[in-house]
Amino acid sequence: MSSLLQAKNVTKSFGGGIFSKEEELIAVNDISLNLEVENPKIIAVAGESGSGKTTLARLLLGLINPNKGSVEYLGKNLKDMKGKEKRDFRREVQPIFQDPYGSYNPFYKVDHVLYSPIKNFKLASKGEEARKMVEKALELVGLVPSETLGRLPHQLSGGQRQRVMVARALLLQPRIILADEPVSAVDASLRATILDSVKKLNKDLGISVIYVTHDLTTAYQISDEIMILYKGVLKEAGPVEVVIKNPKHPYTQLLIDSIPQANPKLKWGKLDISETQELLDQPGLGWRDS
Amino acid sequence: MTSSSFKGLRVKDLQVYYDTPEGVVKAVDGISFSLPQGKRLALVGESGSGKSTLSMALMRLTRAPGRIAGGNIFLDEDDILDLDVEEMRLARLSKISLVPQGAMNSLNPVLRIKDQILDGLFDHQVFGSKKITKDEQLSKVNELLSAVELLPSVADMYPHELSGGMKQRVAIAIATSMDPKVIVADEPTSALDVVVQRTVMQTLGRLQEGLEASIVLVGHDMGLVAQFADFVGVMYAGRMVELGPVNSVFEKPLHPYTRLLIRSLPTLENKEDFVGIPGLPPPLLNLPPGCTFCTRFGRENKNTPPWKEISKDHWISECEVCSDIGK
Repeated sequence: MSSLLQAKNVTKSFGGGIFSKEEELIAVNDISLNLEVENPKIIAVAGESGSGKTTLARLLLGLINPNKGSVEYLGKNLKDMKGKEKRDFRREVQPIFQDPYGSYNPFYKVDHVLYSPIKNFKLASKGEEARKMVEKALELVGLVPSETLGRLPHQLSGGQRQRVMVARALLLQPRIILADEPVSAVDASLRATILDSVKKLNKDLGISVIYVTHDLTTAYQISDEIMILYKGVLKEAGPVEVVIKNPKHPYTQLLIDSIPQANPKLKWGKLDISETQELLDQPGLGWRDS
Repeated sequence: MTSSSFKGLRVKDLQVYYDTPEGVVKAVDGISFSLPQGKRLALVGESGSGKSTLSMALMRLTRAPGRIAGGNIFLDEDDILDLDVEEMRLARLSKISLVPQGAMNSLNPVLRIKDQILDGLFDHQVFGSKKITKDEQLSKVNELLSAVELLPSVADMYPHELSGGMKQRVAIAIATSMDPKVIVADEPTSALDVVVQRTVMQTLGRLQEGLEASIVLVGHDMGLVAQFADFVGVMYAGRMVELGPVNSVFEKPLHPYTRLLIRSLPTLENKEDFVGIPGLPPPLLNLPPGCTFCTRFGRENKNTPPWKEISKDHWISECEVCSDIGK
């Protein structure tokens, strides 16, 4: 099995230089992750604020470099990529960020975010061809092109804006989509629709997805595998069915126990937080198959 | 429930309109409910359904171009819409108080926490006209902080030194500082992590029970609502479409919108295909009379559906044209 994107024992810390008064903060501590070429899957990276999940996402995108370990795309270290290799990586690994509004320039029509990647990566030679590509991508995420194109970002709903971002990522025919909290700024009823289109991309088009989230319910629904991070450390990882249905680490147990479920009969918060607090720092359990 | 001896919050045919150059936007259009003392009501609905507008109107904090166009808000027996501006100002915090959305932005960044807590108390002359010592002030602050499980040292801190959950606790301490009868909490935990959310909500619930206050929780997280509330009110396009006890609404939702809302929620129980709610809510500008939910599915009912009590305390706006959707 050859690996598509692989993080090998990456560690990233901030602060704590010789002249710094502040203590060093290890945001991501010795974490590995592997996406295979042959087997496109959805991996959820889950944790709360400060767990290091966004730092890990930035490492995987090559936006920052690790202090230790390496991130490799098709066997090539991201740090050493140049020119065409880097361009290919930038096209084949597409991010989708949390705030769909922040990704737009409010003065440009939404067409701009769709046509500029086509232009920049020279994906189409004619205007007609570009228009067809854009329409196809919009339809894939469940939007009607005639109702979407030609509008300004504020004229679309939050859910539509985020789906346009998914369509933009799709235009580039990526091999990996890295979605960092793609639905946390969106109404609960619209989350389903967006996550459903992400799931389809994986199943129908064979795109691997890294889904960074704090929401274990949606992670359970769409992912194949899950990694639970706490303070930069991997506490537990494995197939979602194993980790969510039978959590072994106290932190995972606390997280699952704290999810308010939409069923008044399943009472929330059975675990006493003051009792579990010390247990949370227990070392991680690593990968669990069962 | 007889109106003469009713204890709690009673809203009758409340209307909040926004006057815009294009016409009137009826953000809250004739909402009625009774919330007995000590009970918790949660208002849910998509963005733009009017739930935040309603919560602001309960505090009489509606800002221009919005205005309360009609209706009553009874606190026990008194209609707070009859109070003059000064009386209303004094009623806020002491009778009805607000836990705002995103406490991050509601605390003053350049004041210490203790001064922000004391500010409201001084304004309402809680300590009377007598001069009280710094120690007495501080002991009141510490009492309020310990009620929300914060350390006394927080009193001397500034908001930026606190985490999101701690700030939300400070906001709860301020909101409960004068033992109000009604607490309005507008998405109090929407920016918090799950574990923090749970502890903050448990603190809020414990204080509310201690004070025997009623609480109006505004939120779009149906999970939180299921866990926290006694009653659920489902809002759609400025109107209440279903209102009932939490168990009854979740077990047997009667309105199609409630059914779709509950179905769109992912669970940890079993993996299913996601079903979102198709379409978008209608624009509220110059909304025609009739069933607002029908239009989302290309149907039409020109008559405004009647507000009916189907079983005990369980009300819906009953429209025969769209009642089969989501069954």
